[in-house]
Amino acid sequence: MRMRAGRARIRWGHLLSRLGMWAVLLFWTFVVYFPIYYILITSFKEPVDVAKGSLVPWRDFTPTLKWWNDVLFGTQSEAVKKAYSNSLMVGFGGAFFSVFFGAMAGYGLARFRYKIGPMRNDNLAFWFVSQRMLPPVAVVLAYLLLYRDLKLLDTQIGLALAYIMFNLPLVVWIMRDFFTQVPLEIEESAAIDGASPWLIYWRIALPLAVPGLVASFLLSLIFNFNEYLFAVILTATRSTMFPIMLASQFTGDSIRFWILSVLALMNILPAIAISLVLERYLVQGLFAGAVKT
Amino acid sequence: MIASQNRFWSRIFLGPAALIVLAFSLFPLAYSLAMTFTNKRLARAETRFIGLDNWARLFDDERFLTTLQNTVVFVVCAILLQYLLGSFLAVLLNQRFRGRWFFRLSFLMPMMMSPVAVSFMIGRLILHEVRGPLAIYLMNHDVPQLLGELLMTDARGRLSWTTHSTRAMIVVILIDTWQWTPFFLLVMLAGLQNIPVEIEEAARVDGANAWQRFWRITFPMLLPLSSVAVLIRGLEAFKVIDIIRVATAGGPGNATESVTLYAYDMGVKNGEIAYATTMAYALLILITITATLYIAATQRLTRWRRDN
Repeated sequence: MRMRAGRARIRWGHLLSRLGMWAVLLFWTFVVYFPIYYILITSFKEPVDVAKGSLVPWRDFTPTLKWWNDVLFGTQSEAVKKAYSNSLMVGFGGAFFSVFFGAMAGYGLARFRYKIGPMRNDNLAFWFVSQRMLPPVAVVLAYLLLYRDLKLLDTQIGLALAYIMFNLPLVVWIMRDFFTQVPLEIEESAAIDGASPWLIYWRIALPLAVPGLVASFLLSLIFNFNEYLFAVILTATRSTMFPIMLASQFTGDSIRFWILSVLALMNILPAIAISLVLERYLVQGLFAGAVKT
Repeated sequence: MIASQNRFWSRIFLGPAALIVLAFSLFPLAYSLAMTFTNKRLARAETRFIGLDNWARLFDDERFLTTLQNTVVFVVCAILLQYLLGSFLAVLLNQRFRGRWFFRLSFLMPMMMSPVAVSFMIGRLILHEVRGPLAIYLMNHDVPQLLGELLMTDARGRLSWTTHSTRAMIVVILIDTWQWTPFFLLVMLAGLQNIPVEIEEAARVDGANAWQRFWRITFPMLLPLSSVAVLIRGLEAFKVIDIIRVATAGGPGNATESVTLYAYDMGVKNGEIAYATTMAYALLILITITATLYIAATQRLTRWRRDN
């Protein structure tokens, strides 16, 4: 008798905890999506509807394409497109070179034995990662002075170089982890056949580490696309980055929410696209190594 | 090892990355350090060696001490909140149920977004004191006083936070939490999925309830990973500038101003590059000390847990 009562209670408890779980999940889904939904509808609202705080299009307000049209084809469309393409150029260029050099270093650290002074492979890997600890503001003003002398201020190349440096530590760390997991046998037999280390790396190891390459490329890309401090200090008119342009629009009290919502949406669009791709890679591969240690 | 003796190739692989980091990280760092002992300004003028004057100035600079305090408050509160929320959500998402991928994907997204856009979205639109949806709701509805306190209303029941020091800081922390809770969710979820099912099963057979299983098994097993995640996020949070600049611009007064924001203003707007760099260096030293103490403490804690 007692046991049966106990079991029944457990089942009730189970049901309650399931209900609680769904309540929390739905609440957090609301927290995540409501702001995104709200800027989305704001970008289609007339100013008067923004003031009313209308929530449902077609029922509470009539959507308008005016602001999207303004931003994409109107008077300021030139500046917007320029900033967007700057951000994409620096983002992709920087990410490509971080991954190119970072993967090489990761492979080196996974396959060769280094001894530089007292530093061995593990120390070297840690040395790379520790560069990420550095508060960027500690070096950014030095960059400003050096770039001024090198004529690199307000250029895409200058900013991309800084971003390559910022992303390298993470890429080296991820790629070293991936290459350590790639089985050695194939590479060894290729070496016996006389293939050079570069050929082995390029033709055999690299293709096997594609998930790592994708993950580190996308992480670098998103970092470059979102970065603020270096972009605001090292670029001005010719190479304005998109987030800087967005931030520069908050002047005075007469915030044009509708235009800003269009710009903010454009700014988070790559994030949404990349999340779709990255979700799988991140949960599977990226932290596998970190968890083991 | 394929070619452990192959010194040429080992250098080819590691060389470029090491050179880039040396040139773009260590060199500017050394250059910055040298600059803290001078009176370097943004405008081109003669630069003199002034010894420790910049460093001495830091300790008399009330505003700097305030920003330092703000930064520490921000880091501690934001990280704690994100860690708790992220772990909690991770435990929920670690269960098997239909549609799990949808929540995982949705909860991950904020982390990838531009902080400037996020800060506008939440700080400048959702929580806008007149035009935001919350403000409009509060204008049209009466809420009980206690709830009003939670929703940051003033005496008339209107949304009001930009002129309150504490509330403005809370908003900044909330924005950061919205964006970075996914990081902890992701790391803790990965950790949870690596815990062998057998251990849980054994505890279940021995009669441990869900709560005991969490506190006695899951939590301790995740402790090393949690401490690493807190460290990584903590290091990032110390550098905060963008969300604060967009949401509050450091205000009211300088109640939410971070060290990085102050250093930016000092260096770029006032042109006092040397002094601004000294501030940044002080932050670097603070971060290094905190991180070292933190690592030592967590290692001791982990060892203590293992021995008991």
